[in-house]
Amino acid sequence: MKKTVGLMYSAVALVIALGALAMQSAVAAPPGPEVCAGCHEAYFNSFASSVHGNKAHPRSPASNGGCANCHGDGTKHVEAGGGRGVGGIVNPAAKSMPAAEKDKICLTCHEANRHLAFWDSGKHRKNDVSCTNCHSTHGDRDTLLKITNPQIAPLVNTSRVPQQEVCFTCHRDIRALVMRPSHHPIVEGKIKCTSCHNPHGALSPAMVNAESIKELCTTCHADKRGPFMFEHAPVEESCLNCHNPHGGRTVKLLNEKVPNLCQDCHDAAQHPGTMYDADNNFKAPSGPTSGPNSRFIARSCMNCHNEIHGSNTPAGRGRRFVR
Amino acid sequence: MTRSKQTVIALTALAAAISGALAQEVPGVTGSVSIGGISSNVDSQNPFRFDEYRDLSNGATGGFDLRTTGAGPWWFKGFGENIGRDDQFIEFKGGNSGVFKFQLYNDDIIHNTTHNALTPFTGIGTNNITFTGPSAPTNVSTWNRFDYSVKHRNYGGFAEGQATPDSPLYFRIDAKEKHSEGIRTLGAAGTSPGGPAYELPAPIDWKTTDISGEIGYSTRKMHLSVSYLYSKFEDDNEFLSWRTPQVTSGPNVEHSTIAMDNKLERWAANAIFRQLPWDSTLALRAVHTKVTNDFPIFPTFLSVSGTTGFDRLAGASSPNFSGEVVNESFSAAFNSRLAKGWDSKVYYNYYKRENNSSEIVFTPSGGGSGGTCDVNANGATLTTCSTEFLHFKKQNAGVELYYRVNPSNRLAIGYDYLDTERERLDFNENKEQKGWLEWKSGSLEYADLRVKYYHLNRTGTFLLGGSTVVFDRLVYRFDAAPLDRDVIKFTIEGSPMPLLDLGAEFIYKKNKYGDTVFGRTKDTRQEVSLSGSWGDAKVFRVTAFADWEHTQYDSSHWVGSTASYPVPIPPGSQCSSGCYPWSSEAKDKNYLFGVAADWPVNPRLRFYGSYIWTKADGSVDFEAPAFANAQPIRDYDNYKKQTLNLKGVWAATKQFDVTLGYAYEKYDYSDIQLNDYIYNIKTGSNQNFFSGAYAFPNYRANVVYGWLTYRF
Repeated sequence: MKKTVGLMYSAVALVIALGALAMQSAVAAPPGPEVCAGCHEAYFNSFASSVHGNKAHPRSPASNGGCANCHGDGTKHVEAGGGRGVGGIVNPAAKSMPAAEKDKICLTCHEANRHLAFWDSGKHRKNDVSCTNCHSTHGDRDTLLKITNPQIAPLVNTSRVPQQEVCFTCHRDIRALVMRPSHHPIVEGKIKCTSCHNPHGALSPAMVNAESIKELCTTCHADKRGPFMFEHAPVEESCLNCHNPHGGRTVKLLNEKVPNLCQDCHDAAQHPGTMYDADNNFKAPSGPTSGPNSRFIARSCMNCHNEIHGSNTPAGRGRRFVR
Repeated sequence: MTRSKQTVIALTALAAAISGALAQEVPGVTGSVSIGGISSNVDSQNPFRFDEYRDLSNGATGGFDLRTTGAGPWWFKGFGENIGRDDQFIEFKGGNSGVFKFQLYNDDIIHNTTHNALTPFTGIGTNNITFTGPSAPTNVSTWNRFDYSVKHRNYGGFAEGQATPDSPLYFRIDAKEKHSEGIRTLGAAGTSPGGPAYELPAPIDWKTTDISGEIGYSTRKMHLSVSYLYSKFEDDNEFLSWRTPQVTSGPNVEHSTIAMDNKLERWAANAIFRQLPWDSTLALRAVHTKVTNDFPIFPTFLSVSGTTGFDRLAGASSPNFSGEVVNESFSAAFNSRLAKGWDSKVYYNYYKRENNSSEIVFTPSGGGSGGTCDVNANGATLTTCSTEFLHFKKQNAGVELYYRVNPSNRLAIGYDYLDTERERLDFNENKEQKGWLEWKSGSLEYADLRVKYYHLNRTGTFLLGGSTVVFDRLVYRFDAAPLDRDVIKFTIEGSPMPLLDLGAEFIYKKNKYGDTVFGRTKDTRQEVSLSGSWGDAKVFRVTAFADWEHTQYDSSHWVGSTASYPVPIPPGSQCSSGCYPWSSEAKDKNYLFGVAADWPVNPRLRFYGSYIWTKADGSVDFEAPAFANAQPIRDYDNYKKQTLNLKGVWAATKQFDVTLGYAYEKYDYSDIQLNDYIYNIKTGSNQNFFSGAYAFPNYRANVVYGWLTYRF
């Protein structure tokens, strides 16, 4: 009997001791998200709906300390009754915080991510563009992109997140280009900025997703890969010699209208050097230097020299890209 | 009921049934299902600018957005929009949080480039087009109508995973296939040079298949990975065979290149080492890419003299062409924070292109004429035509230094050097040096400033300076010609008061090709962009954007024989149309204004609106001797476009949302090359056959759309 009672007292004492230890641990840990929600309910809700708030993810902040992962230990902040920056609380989206410090918070977890392999070498990091410039860690679970303004766009058939709106915040001139008549379907939601560029860093020029411009473009435009029997040198060296991939007013995203573009390189006896002026249109009266000219009207040089990216037909027909 | 409508209704009903079943049987599924319709009224002969990438045709539309909400690590999402329409998108994603994820998708892209095109040819959509009777009909009313349009169906997905959430080892597999079907424009000369021009419908039936795999080891200190990509392009119609309209006796079938099958293989390796001394990172990348193809060469080509055709022998030195292009690249970058406030980057890039394709020499012979293209050093025509391949090597190195003067100000300076060696007749080497300076300041209370200037100087080794052919000596192609470039960029952004953000940017760029006599001599670009937004997204927010850009391309040329160069000769016995210098200034002014607003009236009703006005004026001014009678061009891709899009979303009940929208668009276009379009125009004695590609694009459209969304 005495032995049994003794064991019972020991068990109770053990439970009380363990409970005391647990309570001490609880007091020592930073306040959890539920505490933060008391004052920051909207941010708590947005955090909970984001991938960072997913407790099922073993590496998410929700599974590893909650808000304190990014905002720091909020114990003193809570004790002081809150306030911007009070108690050493950190706001990674604050303008006053240097970009490198903001990145450090995110990279604590994401530095090993393969998508960020070239972050240090990228133009964004070098230009103080931090993670929170483009991403909202409290955002919707799907994309975490920071889009705060209504989209300036014509009717589009997509309700997917318009990624380009993030990029256009800084790249204003590109917004103007994609709105022009001749453009890739970026606004329509079929091509994204990340279809061609890696905003997280790359060693290539303009952080494109390939080693050269031609290799990038022929990822989608594989018909232009060649190899061709007859090559067109500027095509092989860079598509940007003739095209502006972001958009323009001229068909096929050309930098300049044809024949002007072609004549910037081709000048010779006969028609390459001919001055195609307004007197060569469809209705121009015929004269010594005037009248409709098939090298000017409709698609101009392309009326005949269609295989401008390269040709596989024999002899001079292929060499002159007319077949 | 059309097939697409049936598809939409069936899929939407199916999605609703599945989601309902899932919601009942598998707890933790939430989402929405939508069904609705679009009604468009478009007034246009060729509304391709209206529906170039959008399927706004009358009909039903639907979509779904599903996701699991379970507490476990597995998650799944499904999203679909425009089901059954030409721009359908469906995506399924899922995975085990922190360990594995996958994606499967279908993304259809429609690309319309001309509606209601016309052609006298039959067999449209095949690789063999012809016409009945001895010659092609010139009566346009008898021609056949078709659309230039290509539909791209993309299917693909990826799987990515690692053994445990903390495992540094990972793998990734990507696979995708794109099917492209439709018709696109193909132009061809009746004879070369000169003669009539033909605009033909070429069939597109392509398949591009990409498969890639990557394995890697990634930690905070290091990233190592190797990847392989295999890509195959297949074309069911590598050539278009067509009957040439002007030939009434003898062989009359031409062959024009569409696209050849090809294969690409790419090996890439990355190595990144972080947390090196001076808080540095070393990044390395090496890539080897090979593109190949193989095809038999046509043994003959058509030669036309008057109305008679001849199958002239091509005389190829080999019956087959084996194409092989190898690209190799290596890049290295060393980034370090040398001391407090200092940041730096030193980099090196190497890129080499070798074309190892079979070199073919054609020695044309037999009936007819032409087919040669080789010339000797004096410009005299030879009896052969040889392939010429471009090989080049680029080496680029540079350094960038960034210094934070104080928390609000940062200075940066950089130098970049690029050496290009190539096998090309004119310029076989270029050296480019670029220096730049940048100042960023946040010293102003409500604004940040950024000013950047860079200067680039390019020199070139020109091989034709001693040529006896005047044009060879004096034509400098702008992609390799000596160049001086200056660019200045100024940006100011700020929030002068709460809820208000403003931004302005000014860009000036000038390229001067100082050594060029014939060719592009200068081009400039000036642009001003303004942006602003005001409001609180929960109450009302408006954003606006404006842009003005002016570009100008200047060039110099010579018409006719250079026997008298540089002295101009008026039309006469010595020069039938005159031989003279001329120059042009091609100018372009672009304007854009856009505004959008979002207004959540109350928790159940939200309005959205967007208006865009955009305009462009293009022109070309000429300078030439008086006898050339140069006439300036005033309509050069001139357009004015307005779009208005209004939408309201009303949460009728807890489960149902109603969306109604209206859009108005107007596009006015004028271009001297397409105005007063004549499909069957005769230029001199040449009978051309044009199909109306890109012509008559003006449109006015009213669109009404709506859908009902069920949320659960």
